[in-house]
Amino acid sequence: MTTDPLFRSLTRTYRQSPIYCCTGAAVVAVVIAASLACNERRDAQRPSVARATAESTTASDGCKRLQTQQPAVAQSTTESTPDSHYNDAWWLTARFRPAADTILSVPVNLVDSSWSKATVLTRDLMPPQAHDDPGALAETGTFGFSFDGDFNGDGRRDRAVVGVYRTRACEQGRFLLILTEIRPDHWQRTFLRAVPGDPGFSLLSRERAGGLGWWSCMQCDNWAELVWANTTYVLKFHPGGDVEPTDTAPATASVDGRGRMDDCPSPQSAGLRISAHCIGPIAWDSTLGEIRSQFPKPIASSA
Amino acid sequence: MEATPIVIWTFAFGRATVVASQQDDRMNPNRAADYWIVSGEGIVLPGGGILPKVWGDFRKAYPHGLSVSSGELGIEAQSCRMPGLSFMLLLSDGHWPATLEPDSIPSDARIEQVELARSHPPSDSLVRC
Repeated sequence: MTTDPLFRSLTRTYRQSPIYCCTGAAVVAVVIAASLACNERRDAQRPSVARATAESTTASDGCKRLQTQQPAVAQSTTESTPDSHYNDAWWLTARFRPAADTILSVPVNLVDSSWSKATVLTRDLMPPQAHDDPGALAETGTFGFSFDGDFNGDGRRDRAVVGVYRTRACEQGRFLLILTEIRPDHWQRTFLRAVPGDPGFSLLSRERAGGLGWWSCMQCDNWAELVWANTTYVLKFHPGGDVEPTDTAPATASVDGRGRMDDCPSPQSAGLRISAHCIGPIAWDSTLGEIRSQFPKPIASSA
Repeated sequence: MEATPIVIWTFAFGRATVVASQQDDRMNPNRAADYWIVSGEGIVLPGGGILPKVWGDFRKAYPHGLSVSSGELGIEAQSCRMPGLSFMLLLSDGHWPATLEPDSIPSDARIEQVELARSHPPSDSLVRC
């Protein structure tokens, strides 16, 4: 089973902060404070998503899905049962239905050839609980589902969005997508990170030096930072927990099913990083022919 | 042991090498490799830690959820924090452990290589377990 790297919080515990309404840099401070609380393991608070049953039904799109999932577009499916000992935050249980054929007029199959539908998250799509706690998603400019900027310094407008997708094979997941405006109102995919799994919540944050943060929950200590590293975007994971990361090497990964070698760190990167889709510069789910076209001099031998 | 030679491709990146195998006597360029073996220096593990050279340092860095088993090619260790990775251990002569408990493995046992199977890909970060 592929472990969901960015969204481990789905199976992690959390502690809900009593105060979560703040602005600007204070938001970050609260997130950090809350993340410290997250480190305390409370097995009694496992999110309900970990308890999802295998009951399924075949929907009109031909994909089987859990019966608890609503047919409407981007509906939250937060569940709460009377006998539940769980106290799940909405961002852990909300599920969204990939429903659109385009993202910023770009057909989803041009974003990823395996995709059939996608939905970019917005505040309007959040479940009622989110609106009951407006501070959590306050329009502070620090957190959001879509940010414009020139994230790679090439003088062209970029737009970062997060959302959910479904493939033609009915696999679902979440994504972080960077599009670049190549001419007015014409956008082109520049970077994609897709994480197979539940089509759930994620959020962007503006980070120092023009970078972006990608979060899977409001109060978690693991997140990913997207930065431009001279020639490519790289995702640097901040896993939290009890082992501090020691690397400075890019942590990038190809997840669009095409084994894109250019999503892996360059061969000149310090260290040879093992990740879900890369071994150093090699996208290890690529075919050997593709790998050899990039790295033409393997030493063939027998073992 | 395997009776049929298995073809491998070895890619060198600095002081680290990456070996690809389809567990077959020929390579099919239209398929991905089924197994990968990474060895050498500067290997960065999921979560960002550098692969320690010896078992003692590995245990200090990743003390939880360790298991050790004996396979066809020797002793290998796994950490539940890094699913999908097997760490091949090389013990000094005469230091074969009495048991395969993590405590029984000599601290100076060298971590020779890391194995990955395409059927069980690793995570990008450490997993809580």
